[in-house]
Amino acid sequence: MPPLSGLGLAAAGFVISAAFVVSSGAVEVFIEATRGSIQKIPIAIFPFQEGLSLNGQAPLEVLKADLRRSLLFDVADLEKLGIKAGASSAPDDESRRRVGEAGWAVQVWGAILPRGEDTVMEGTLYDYNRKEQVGGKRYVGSPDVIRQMAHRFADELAFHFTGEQGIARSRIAYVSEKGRGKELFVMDYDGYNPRQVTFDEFLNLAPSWSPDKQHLAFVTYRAGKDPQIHALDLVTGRRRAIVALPGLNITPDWAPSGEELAFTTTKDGNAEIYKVDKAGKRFERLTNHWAADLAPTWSPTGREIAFTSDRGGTPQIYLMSADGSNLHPLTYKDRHGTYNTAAAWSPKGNWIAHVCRDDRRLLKLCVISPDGQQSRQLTTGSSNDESPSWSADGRHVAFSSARNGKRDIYMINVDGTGLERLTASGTFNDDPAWSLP
Amino acid sequence: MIIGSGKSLYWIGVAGLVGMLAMGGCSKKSVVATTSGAEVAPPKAESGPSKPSGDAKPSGDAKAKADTGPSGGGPLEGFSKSPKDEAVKSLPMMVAKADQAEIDARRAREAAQKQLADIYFAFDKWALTTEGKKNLTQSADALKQVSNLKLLIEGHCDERGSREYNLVLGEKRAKETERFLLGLGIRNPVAVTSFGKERPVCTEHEESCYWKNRRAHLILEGAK
Repeated sequence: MPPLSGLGLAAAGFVISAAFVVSSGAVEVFIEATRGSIQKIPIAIFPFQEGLSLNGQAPLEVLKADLRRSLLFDVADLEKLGIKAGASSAPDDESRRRVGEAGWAVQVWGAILPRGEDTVMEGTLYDYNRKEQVGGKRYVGSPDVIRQMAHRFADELAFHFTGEQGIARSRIAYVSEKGRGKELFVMDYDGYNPRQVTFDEFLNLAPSWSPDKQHLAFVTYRAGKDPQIHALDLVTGRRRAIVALPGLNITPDWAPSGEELAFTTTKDGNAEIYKVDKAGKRFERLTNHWAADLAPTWSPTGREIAFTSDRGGTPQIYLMSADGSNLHPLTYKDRHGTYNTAAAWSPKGNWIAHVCRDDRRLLKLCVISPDGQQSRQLTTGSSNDESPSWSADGRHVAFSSARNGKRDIYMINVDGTGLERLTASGTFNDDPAWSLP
Repeated sequence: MIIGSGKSLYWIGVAGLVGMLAMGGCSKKSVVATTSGAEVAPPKAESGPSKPSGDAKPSGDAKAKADTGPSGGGPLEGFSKSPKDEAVKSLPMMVAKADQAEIDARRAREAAQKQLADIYFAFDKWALTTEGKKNLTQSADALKQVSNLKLLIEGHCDERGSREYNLVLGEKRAKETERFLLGLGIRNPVAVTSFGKERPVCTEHEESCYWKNRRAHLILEGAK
């Protein structure tokens, strides 16, 4: 085995625990013994056989980046093991042996080949310990989906070893400034293939994905002074109003069931949290207080909602059951600072990310466990960081930051490592919303 | 009205042709009343090619020239050794009447709008400052002069609050402003909205900018 570099999380103060690889039928399920700490799977990705010109697309690099970003794999540096880049065929026995003996038992190779107008990507998974091919994948599609093929293969590997869906096929919706307006865009989770999906030339804000990834709920000022919540069907292009009450209608968050949304409206005179079914017909009020209650985020079970309230004098995070009962504070002014907003509940349930404010009055990201026992600041630096949104695996947070001048979308691992910038279009980019895979 | 000498048919003919050319494609044949009550014969345009009505020349202008000439006397008739009287009258000029009520309303709206200064808020706060109340008292006086006009109050914030909380904070600022103005007895219909930090007037990352963005902005309907 190579050094357990994947256990660098220890430096961040996590409990190290054993991880088990359990063989369950065709899927080897890799179980996290405790949250936050995992042992990475050593994997060697041999150079792909390239049977056509890829016009600068590099599926091998996409795949390796996906595997590194997944935090599930420790990707071998094959050049250090004397394996040359560039291949015209599958790796020979000697190469597989040398890499295998160095501790990289999980081995992958592949090929990109033309088939008529289409492109074919083949990938093979090999177990050096058992000296057998575990299986393969063959993807066929137009040449412009080669990145998608590599993402899909990365998620197949994650699924094989963990039973989880992976995040490489996920997408991030966000808000980008266009002239005087702010429009919604959707990009791949690694920042590639940005596509504009609204063309209002006015303010659109706060996208939220439906769990099936077909719909985006968002806030629009298109109807005038009262912002409404609309849903855009990304398959049909159809758009409809879900919430058009008098006052501000903001911060939609699609429930994990996909059947309803929580949101904020000021129709009662101040900000209150409501639920509405996805048809926009049945409303249910969840909060009732003279102070502002806003920005709901569902727990992954759909049983609880975290939100922001300034009922204690400063904005803080509160929790309640999804019917509005059991309301209680999660963050406190004296322990967590005077400003805690924009909660985002991890799809794994174990953390709630939120915006906090440091002693220089800069907005930062913080995370807190739903029981309030653990909390810490996630981002540092001299710019305002905000709008946290989780990856489906609960290991990454997308957010916006102006740390390099213009506001852009970034991602960071929940342990504070792996900061990566995703947009660099030279304009204002904000409000990321990360889809399920 | 034209009392020409008729000395030379040739000149009259030329003058008539010139007159027809001058009237161009004008096809209007209305009788134009002069202030003296005399009648001007409508120009005859039965001969000559008629131009398309899309001619760029304003018809009123062309008509004025054709009917009366610059001095109000119709087509020139040439010199005569024994000239007769030619009546010369001031040019009839129909005007688009100003809607004085509309002008007055606009002037009142603009004058009132100028009195509606932005008011500013402390960091994280939506309570009105002493300065803010003073400015709103002046604004209220102006609003009472135009109490039929709708007022929109926009609340805005600086960038140091989070995006979604600022939408709510901006609305709180707008509503505090509304409450105070109504307390001063304004009777304008009032609407409020909030743009949070989405519409800053100043974009530097320092307090010299921040305070300008923490504002309530008052807009009378139809004003800029």
